[in-house]
Amino acid sequence: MRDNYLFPQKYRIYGWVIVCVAIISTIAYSISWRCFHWMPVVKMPVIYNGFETQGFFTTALCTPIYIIMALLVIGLLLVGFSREKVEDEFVAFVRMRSMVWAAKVSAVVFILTDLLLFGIPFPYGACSIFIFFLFLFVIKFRIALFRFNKGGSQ
Amino acid sequence: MKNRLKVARAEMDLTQEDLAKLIGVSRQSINAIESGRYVPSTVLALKMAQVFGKSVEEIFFLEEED
Repeated sequence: MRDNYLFPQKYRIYGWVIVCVAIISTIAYSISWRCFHWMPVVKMPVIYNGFETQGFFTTALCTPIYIIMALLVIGLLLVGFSREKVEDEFVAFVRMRSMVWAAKVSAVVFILTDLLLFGIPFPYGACSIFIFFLFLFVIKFRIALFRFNKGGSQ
Repeated sequence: MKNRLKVARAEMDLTQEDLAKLIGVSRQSINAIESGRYVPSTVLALKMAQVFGKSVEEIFFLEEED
């Protein structure tokens, strides 16, 4: 079967490494902020900076959380969309079913966030929904494949 | 849709792993098809029929509710 748009199998391990780095960075960032009230900032080139009316094509001081979110998306994409050892139509079916399930759950969470979360947390909740979707998809897909791998062989 | 895959496999003394290798899929696929959790594509059904030297209808057949 053709496996359009999938990354090579070895990219999955790179994906897990990136996800682990992102999670460890999140923990380190949280500890540094909670315990030492110190937050590292990085000056990044941006297309638009709404703060202090800096306008288009300028720079902004970004906290690491933006970089961590980008890393998480890249890592989870590599994990979820890399070829399996034997990539066949059944794996594609399980992948699609997991994606539909994750999309439905994410939609419910997004609607609840949209209706119940106001103020400063809302943009964070809204931005995180794609990462949440990818997380759900990867977890569901891996568990489904694991369960089928454990299935009896006669 | 029901199937006689397990019987056909037993007749030829093939394991799920053997059949999977012969048609180029994973053992999990064969397991899922046999247990009725997954309905294979026409291509896969034809490949299986070819391995067993039977017609597709001899291996896969519709149920009343299909």
